[in-house]
Amino acid sequence: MRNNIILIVILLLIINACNKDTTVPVPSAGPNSFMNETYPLTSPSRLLMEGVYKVAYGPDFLGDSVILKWNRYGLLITNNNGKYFVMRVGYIDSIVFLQGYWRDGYSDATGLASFYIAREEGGIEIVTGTGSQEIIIRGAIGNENGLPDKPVILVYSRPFSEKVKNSNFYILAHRCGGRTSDRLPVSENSIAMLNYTEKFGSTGVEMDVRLTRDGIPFLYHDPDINTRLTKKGPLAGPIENYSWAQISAFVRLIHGEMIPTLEDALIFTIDSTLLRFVYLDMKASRDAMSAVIPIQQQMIQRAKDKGRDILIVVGIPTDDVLDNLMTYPDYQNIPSLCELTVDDVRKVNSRVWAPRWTLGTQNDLVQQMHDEGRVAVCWTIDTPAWIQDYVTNGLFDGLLTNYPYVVAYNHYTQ
Amino acid sequence: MMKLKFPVFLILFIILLNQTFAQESPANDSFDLKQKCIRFPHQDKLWGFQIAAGLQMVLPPKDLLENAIQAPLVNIHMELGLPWKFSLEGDVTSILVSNQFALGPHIGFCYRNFGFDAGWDVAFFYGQLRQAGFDNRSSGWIHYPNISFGYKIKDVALTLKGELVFVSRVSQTSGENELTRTRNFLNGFTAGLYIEQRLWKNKVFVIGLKDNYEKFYWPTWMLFTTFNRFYHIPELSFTWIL
Repeated sequence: MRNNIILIVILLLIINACNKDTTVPVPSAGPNSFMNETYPLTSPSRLLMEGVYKVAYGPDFLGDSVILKWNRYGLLITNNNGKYFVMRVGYIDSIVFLQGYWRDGYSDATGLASFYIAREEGGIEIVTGTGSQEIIIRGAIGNENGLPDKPVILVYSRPFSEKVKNSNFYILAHRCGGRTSDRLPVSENSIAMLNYTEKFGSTGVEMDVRLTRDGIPFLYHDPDINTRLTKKGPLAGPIENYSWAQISAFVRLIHGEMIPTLEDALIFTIDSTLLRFVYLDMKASRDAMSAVIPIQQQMIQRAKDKGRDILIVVGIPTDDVLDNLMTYPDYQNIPSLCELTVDDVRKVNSRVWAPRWTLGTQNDLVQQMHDEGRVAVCWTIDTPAWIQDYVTNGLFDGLLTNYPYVVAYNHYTQ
Repeated sequence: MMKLKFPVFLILFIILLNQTFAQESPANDSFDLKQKCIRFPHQDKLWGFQIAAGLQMVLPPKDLLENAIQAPLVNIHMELGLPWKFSLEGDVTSILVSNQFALGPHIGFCYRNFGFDAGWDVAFFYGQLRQAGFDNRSSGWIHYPNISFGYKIKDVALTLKGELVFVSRVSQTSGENELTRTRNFLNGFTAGLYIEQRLWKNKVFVIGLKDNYEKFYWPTWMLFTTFNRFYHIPELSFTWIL
């Protein structure tokens, strides 16, 4: 009997060792952070800070250089190997303070970050928004919620090049901006993720479109309801077998958000973000074009009315979807993104050609697309070395990735 | 987790069944489990050959799984007795698109009902998947230094086995593009519990539960994961010693 007890204990220990569903905690200085006492920077001040910085001192994982780029939330600092910083910035008495956290996008490493720019090291110039950019950023980073204790010094190296400033390059983030498997605090394919992704440098998103049993397009990646993407609930099996009333009442994404309809997601994107590109990835198991295209048209009009320069394209991933699109009246005027051949692109007059990245840079075909007034982006490229190669040697107008901060670094350092 | 409950209860059921209904071995029964087991540390007869076949059910982490089809791995285990308490052990493990060939020397000691084994297996894995017009391949070399401790109760043997997992090279290609090439890293470790049970005559069945705590789990190479994280990957195996 004693042997049986030992065995049962061992088995339970092994089973208990299975992976828990985890989210990497977002380190925070707390609600009483001194950043609440600082003043926000004006647009000219912000622009003065942007550029390429040399890592003069810091942990090896920071690499040799980083870029600083503003977004709707604050400042993104990122390097070439997936380490990025999400920072709040403000000033007091000509000293600029930066506080936030860093994260390794390829693992779960994270920590607090706290920097400052002294008056005589660029603070006065930044606060007044004039003068030279001889900026030195000093501070430290820590691990998780521990106090920042590893010193870091960043020295302004150069502004973004004219090529970059004049570029319309799209940094496209997967699944509305990030995957649930990236262990972010918000769920993939949610409005919360749309609201979050610009922190990573994203300028556009891909969203996965499915169709409810009663014909409502909504966002969800997998074919079935599962605990990878959703909280445990009463529904199971193929998600498209349920009506919108059932899904909205009984299914919650893994971080508790509602599954959004396509319409709600696009309204949020247009009204509340600065994203410039939306790729509707048609994941529906049956023809969803007749439900999706009217919404796309309404949203394009909404964007025009609001003066938003945003490209909203329906995806054509397979020949079947291509054939379905061609049954739609006036299909050549429907903004689409074709993942197939350039001949297929021409057949339906797609606005965007999007080949799989493993086919190579295909610069000759990309140039042909440019000559025809089309946009070319490729999917889904995640390895830092390949991202660097495609940004440096390719002619694509954008890259779809799970690591937008790596694409951002490589784009802005051109 | 739910998927694991049934196998766990199955193992517990078999243990209790064995405890309740196991028959005493007849006095004239010459069967010795030590000579007919693969997991329990033992000394093979010189040039003695043993072979076993089994299935391994794996539960990959949700981060990697997404929509991947799950299928059991087929495993063939072989061992050959060598002089000086050494043996040579080999494993072929396959799910068609992923295959691993492992070979390594082991040394085993037995004392009364206890056993100890130490070994070093070197494995080459190779995978190929032609999908949507793309020819994806992966290959690499993995080292598994390992030790096992066993305890035998009548016709049942319990064995705990631990392995370190060193990857000396992994390469992944898609068509002409080499997507990744990684060298020399500690990939993690594994811990396994194996129960070997004589069913009748000299027929022995093995049930194992193993936790692979690894960054790169070779059967899932085709997922091209970019995560640099350790995962617990439970593996339940059923093996028949032929």
